[in-house]
Amino acid sequence: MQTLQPQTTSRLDAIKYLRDIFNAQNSKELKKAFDALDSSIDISEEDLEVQFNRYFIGPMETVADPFASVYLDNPDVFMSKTTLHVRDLYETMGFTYSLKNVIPEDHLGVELDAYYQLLFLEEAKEITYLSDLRHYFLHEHLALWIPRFLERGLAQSEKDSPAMTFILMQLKSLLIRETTTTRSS
Amino acid sequence: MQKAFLVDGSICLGCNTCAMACKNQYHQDDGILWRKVREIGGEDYLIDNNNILPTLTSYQKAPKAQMPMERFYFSLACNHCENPACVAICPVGAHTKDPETGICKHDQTICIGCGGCVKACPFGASKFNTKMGQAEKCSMCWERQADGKTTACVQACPVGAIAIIDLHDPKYKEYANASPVGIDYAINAETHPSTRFILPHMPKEVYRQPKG
Amino acid sequence: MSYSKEKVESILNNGISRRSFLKGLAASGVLTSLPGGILHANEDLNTKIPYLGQKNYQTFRNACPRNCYDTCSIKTYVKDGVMQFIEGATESTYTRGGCCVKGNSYVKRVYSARRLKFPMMQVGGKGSGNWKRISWDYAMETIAKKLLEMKKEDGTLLGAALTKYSGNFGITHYGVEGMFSSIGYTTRLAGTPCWPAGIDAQNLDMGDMWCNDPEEMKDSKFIILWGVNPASNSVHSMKYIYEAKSKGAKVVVIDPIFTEAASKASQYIQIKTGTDGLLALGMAKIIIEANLHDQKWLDANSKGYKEYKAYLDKEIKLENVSKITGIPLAMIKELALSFAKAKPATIWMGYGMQRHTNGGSMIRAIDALVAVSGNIGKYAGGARYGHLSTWGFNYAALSQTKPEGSVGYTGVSAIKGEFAKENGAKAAYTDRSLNINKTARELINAKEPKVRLLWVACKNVFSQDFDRNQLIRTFQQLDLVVVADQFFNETAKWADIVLPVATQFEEYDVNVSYWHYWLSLNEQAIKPLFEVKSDVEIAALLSKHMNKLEAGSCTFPQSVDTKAMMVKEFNPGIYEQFGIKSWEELKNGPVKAKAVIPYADGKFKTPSGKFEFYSDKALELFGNALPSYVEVRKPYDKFRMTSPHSRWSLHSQFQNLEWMEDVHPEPYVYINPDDAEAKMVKEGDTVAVFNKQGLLRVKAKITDNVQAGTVLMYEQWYNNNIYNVNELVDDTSSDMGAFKTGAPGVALHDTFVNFRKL
Repeated sequence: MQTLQPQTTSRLDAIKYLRDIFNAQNSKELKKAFDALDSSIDISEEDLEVQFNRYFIGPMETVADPFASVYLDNPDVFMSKTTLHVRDLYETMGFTYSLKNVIPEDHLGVELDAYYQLLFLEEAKEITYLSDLRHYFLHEHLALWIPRFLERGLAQSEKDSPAMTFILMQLKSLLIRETTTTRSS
Repeated sequence: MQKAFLVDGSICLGCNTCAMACKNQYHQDDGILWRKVREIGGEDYLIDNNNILPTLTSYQKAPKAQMPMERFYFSLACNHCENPACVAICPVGAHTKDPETGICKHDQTICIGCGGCVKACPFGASKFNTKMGQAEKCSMCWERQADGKTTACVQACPVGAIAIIDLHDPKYKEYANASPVGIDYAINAETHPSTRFILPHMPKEVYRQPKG
Repeated sequence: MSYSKEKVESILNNGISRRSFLKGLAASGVLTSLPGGILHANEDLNTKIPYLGQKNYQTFRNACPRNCYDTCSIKTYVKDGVMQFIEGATESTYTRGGCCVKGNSYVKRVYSARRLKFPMMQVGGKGSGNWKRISWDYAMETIAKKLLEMKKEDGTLLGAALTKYSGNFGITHYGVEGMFSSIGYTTRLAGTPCWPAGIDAQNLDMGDMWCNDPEEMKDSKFIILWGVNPASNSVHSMKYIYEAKSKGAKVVVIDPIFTEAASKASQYIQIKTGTDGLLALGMAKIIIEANLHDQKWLDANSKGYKEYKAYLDKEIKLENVSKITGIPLAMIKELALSFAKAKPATIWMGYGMQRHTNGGSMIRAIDALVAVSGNIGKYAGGARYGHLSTWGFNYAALSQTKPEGSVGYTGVSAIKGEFAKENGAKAAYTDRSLNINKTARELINAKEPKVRLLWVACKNVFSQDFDRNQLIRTFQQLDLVVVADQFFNETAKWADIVLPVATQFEEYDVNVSYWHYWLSLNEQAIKPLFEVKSDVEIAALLSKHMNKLEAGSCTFPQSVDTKAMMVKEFNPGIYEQFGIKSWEELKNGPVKAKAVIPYADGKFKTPSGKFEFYSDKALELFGNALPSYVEVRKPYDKFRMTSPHSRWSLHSQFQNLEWMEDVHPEPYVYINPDDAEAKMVKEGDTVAVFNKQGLLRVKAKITDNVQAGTVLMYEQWYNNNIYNVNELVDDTSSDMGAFKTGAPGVALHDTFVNFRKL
């Protein structure tokens, strides 16, 4: 049963840990970020990695590819129109991306990183210069593809992976919270 | 009106507060100074780290002055010429001369980085920013002046060695020299720079320990 | 919260809107505030900021807390929580709307990418370069644990040493000393390398160091700038000197170097280094012989004038004065007589002038000259050196009590420091004092207990102290070295723990000057960047951790608010002196103390209550009751090296910034043409300058600004350059300083070197 999770971690931290999950380079990093979200799910580092890979990485066909362009453009390719649009957005936000043309900019982990850093500016540093861009990124981009990604992932994870369900539900809660507290004018 | 810098070398300390006040105001990239404090007898004005492109116009050089090292200076930025070469050459109108104040302004949002002004200015006032691929220069803090303030350099100078005057005001008519002495400066340039100079001099009495 | 989709799309799609938006990115502080992840701030963006109009900025009051005569009042312009630019405060007639070249680089300093951001620990050992980021709690807990462990083993905390000096002269920064007092009796590096000889001299002569208001100089008729270069080191003073000059005053610069100030004087007199005292004695003799001295004033207000005159008559021969100073006698006479005839006349003595083995004696001689001419206690007159008369704050941050049961030092402990406060009763225990001018050796030689922990704050030991090789050995032998600073420097390199410290823009404080008479509020203009903390916040955190481990082990408040600490420093005396009712009035700008002319009433704080030519104290401490001629140190190598302060830096601060490198990229050694020719050195050659202390490689500039027999190198610290004049400086003491500051100063300009072309 999909329900909204009660908020135990701070708004910024929740985004940060989800970001870290999707950018984890190894099982240790993945477990650390997962544990930080306080799931109370008991799972070994190895099992977690195996499930995560099956869902989002490969090598076999993934359950749900974590790239925006897959849901917004052609489901079979990366690096398409949406990717370039996101690249443009990052440039306007003042970012530089060292993995340009290596890992697409519209990878969920990179997008969560952008969102996290922009929100950090507003919350921790009270700098609002990019606030409009953050809202735009949220409503006109993240809110368009992530629900579809979540739908695909949860359809499977509800059946066989509490850990993946937990991660996806955290992301879903986050998205709902963010989109319901801000609105386009 | 022709607003102009009056540069008083007789009281200038060479402290570079003016150059740094400009950086403080606009945060130019590393290596780029819109205002530079030039040592008299110490360096070539035109051979400037900021200007990688040579000028088109040939001009008559000023006579070099013999003065003690690192003691006498002229502070120079843009000369807000009466007949500016940058305005004449700019293909997109990024350089304009304000009809009311005579200030030569540069608008970087329009600049396409062709480098024409960098080559045309006899004084090297226009600097080429290789990182941005655009030119940039002193615009006499026209936004500050419009806001009732003075330029950043004039505000900061501890001894008032830079001032803003109006060349068309009769009280400044015979005020000062049109050319500095002792630096490689395009004297009698056709652009008619507006900057005016009060020339420095050694103290009346100087005693140094005798040799031997 | 709503946002505008149209606005964003316009930014994304419209070239001009977009360029404009990107232009503002730097001004908004985004680039320096992003926490960093996979995406990094794009440094290649146009980082220039536009001027947006007065009403688009928030302004704050700040002050420059550096060790500088001018202590500028600053107006800081902030937008969206980010410093944009600064101006000098216009309310202060002294600052007059502009800071100096260093002050104008503050925005670059605050937002420098190389600022220390987090507490770090050097895990590979001192100097290894292997740093690990640690939390504040972990850092302070580590330090607290070490302190308590030391206290247990030694029975005292005398093994903990503090070296703190002039990095920040804001009044609440004495909280660093307060922090050390609050843990018990500790070891302090005390004294000062700077100006103690002159302080002693002025105290012997007049009972205080108390200069006239520098703004009066505009009305002086005769100004002698004696061994001081305000064109470089007190630029705000120059306007008063220029005004006097434009009204017909004569400005004479007496200096071994043809300085920037000399180039703007009416007259420059190049003197043989270290003979200034003799010149002053000669001038006094001439004035008295011409009957131009102020006999009435001397009769009413001085002690020992008779003995002094007898000394001049007997011991000072004018031909000798001329010979030793190298100045023609006619010139000396002309100088003396015109000085005496001008009313009022004043002499400004520089700190550089007293950095000799005979420095104190020279200040005494010049004080006497001013007294003889009748210019003590006169408006626009005076023997100017410095003052501390506006520093009468509560020093609440400084004044912390020792925890109960603290055990301290019972030996003789005389060293204080020029800003030390006198206590009432004598305590059974005291802190242990080590001579700051002999840091390297004194730290390692201290026994019972050994020094095991060193805290460095507001100071760059490796840049400013002497005997670098020994310093490295000393640091390596200490158990724990903690360095609190804003930038990574050589001292941090040899630390165990580095703590990132706030700039004055990130904390509250209050500031005054040792030269002018203005009072400035320093407001917090921006949030502290990264994890930096104010020195007093660090103290509070240490207290919290110490008390957690052992209740009562530290009396410093466990949490502080820098604003509250600032407010606590004010008292009725300050309010009265500055004519304000509340510190809040300072939000409208700096205020000036009510005008007072030092010694106008003829009252001196000397034992006799008069100006003392003859001083019993001087006789007791320094062997000469009268201002007398003392020969300067004899050379021990071929050339004198003089190392004045540079205009581009305040000791080791500012030169490391990129903006400063743009106007002043590299160091030089300045060599007289005759000396250069003899060694076949040409302009731009790299030379080795060396002596028994060490060796420096530096490019040469050839100029007759320096006299033959002297080479000049400015005292500075560069980024990525091992240049440091202290490599060559010998830490020989000056004659005076022990009286008022507990230890003599350092004769920095009596260093001798040789050089050769490389």
